[in-house]
Amino acid sequence: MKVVVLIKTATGGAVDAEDAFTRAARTAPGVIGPADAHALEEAIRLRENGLAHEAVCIALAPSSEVLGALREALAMGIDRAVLIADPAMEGADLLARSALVAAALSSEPADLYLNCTWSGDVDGTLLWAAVAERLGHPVMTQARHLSLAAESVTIERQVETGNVTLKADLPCLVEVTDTINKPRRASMKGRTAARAKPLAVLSLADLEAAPAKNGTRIVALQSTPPTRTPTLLEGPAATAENLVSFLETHGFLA
Amino acid sequence: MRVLVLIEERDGVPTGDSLGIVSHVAALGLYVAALVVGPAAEDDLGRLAGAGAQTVYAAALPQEPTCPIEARLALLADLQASAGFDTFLFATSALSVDLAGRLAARLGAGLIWNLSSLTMDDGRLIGRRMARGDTLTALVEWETLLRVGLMRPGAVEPQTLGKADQPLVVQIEAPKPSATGTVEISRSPSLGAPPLASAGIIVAGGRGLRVQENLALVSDLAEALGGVMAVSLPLVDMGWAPRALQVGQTGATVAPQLYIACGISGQYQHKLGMERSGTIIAINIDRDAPIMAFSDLAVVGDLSKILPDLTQLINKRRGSPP
Repeated sequence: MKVVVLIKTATGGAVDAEDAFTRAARTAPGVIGPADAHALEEAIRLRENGLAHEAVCIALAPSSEVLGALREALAMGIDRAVLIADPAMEGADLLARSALVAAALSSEPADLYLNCTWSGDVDGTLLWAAVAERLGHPVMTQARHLSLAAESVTIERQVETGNVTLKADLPCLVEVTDTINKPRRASMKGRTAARAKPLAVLSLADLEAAPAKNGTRIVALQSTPPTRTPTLLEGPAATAENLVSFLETHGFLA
Repeated sequence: MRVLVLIEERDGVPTGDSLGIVSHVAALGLYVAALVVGPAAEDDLGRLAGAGAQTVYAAALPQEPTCPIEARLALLADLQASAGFDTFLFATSALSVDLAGRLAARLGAGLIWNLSSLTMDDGRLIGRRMARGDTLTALVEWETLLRVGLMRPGAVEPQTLGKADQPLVVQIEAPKPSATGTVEISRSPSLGAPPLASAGIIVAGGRGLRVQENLALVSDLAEALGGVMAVSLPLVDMGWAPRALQVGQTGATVAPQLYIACGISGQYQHKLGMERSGTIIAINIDRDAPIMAFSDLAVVGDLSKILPDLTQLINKRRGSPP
């Protein structure tokens, strides 16, 4: 049983890039994104529990600047890491990126593929579903709990109408949520061990991936006017008394 | 241009988001059809016709435990081939996101999500979508012959276009899903209409409460204001509160006159559930939390101090015992 984790380092076309930029800005360069850590943790636990024999981490990025994130994954306990570094990732929209990710995952055939996105991060879920379609595997998203058996994987997910338990045959793609586990921090021992672990850097040409075409085009980009203009109360002004007068002024204490 | 809208139902009734998409597209003067999965009741057909659907496809899906995703995917792909639809629109939900992603890859269709509206410009369909925490608005165009789009929750309200004619109803058989797929094992009973939907005042607590005991500070304030308590997703995940009290994309979408967010950072997922509230007050220790930017009053401070003080002051004014 082999588990492959896709971590998010790729940017996309103008709008996608702006979104990716926001995410990347939350962490220093070359550090694992907070959501990605949950998917890595889940894969490492499956290997430690003896359910999987190998846990591999894959990232796609326009350049090899993100190698630090993969070293961090190895230090956490991932066995092997692969970076597909290719300028073609720059400017790729979701449809194109799904083709490139599918090509990357095809080069590492696995039983279970994991990723993690924030619960409101619709584009991450869309990408994973599109990749699953290209690979011809089932996909289960927004998993809050995952259990792996010899030939299937079962998850629990939350949907609008309640909670649902789903089961799919392997190989399967699963997107986990950031509430599935509490990721470990890499230890000093882990960092030392990571230096000896395999870390490959490939290009799309190495994968013999066909060039991917975008399905969308940005016509115009402008800043959104703010919908509300907040009054800020901080320091000595942040009192219950001031809150009461605000509520009173707006007629909520009548 | 031939547009097909997948109709989502909640407790057997088409959702406002789904009907809103139908009328939004019809108002552009485009041909729009609706796909209803399951038996289509007379009332539903009337609603869809009123919203502007010219044809309603009613599909009977195989009974559980077949997973809805694969069966619906096969249905949509079949309709593309047999009825020549070129544009597929969805309301954003847990189910539709998986479906739309797969459909786009299967059809090689360009994919645009988080759409707040659609316009026609010189025969081209253009989508307006927000990005980067809603600070940027982009006009995006499909470059492919086939298009898949997801509308942002609550983006378009259903309109009655006043068409008296009954739409053409086409009964279709669900194609057999592929052999490998997902199977639904169990589901919790439907939550029904949450008590939050009709509340005029909501006081909501989030991760910033730090300890479960502090949730009482939120319910005390809600009670003092004559409102109800709600929570954000992390609190449900931690088992502090039941699902029925959750505001957000996978919980309730609310629009009270007053929404007080206590220790909620305001992730996009939560914002979708409450951004249409009348007045929004955010109380948070972090002045840079996203919620501060879309509130009317942003209070930077310690919840464990401000909330009990506020409750006490309100109770005192109302003359009720502290």
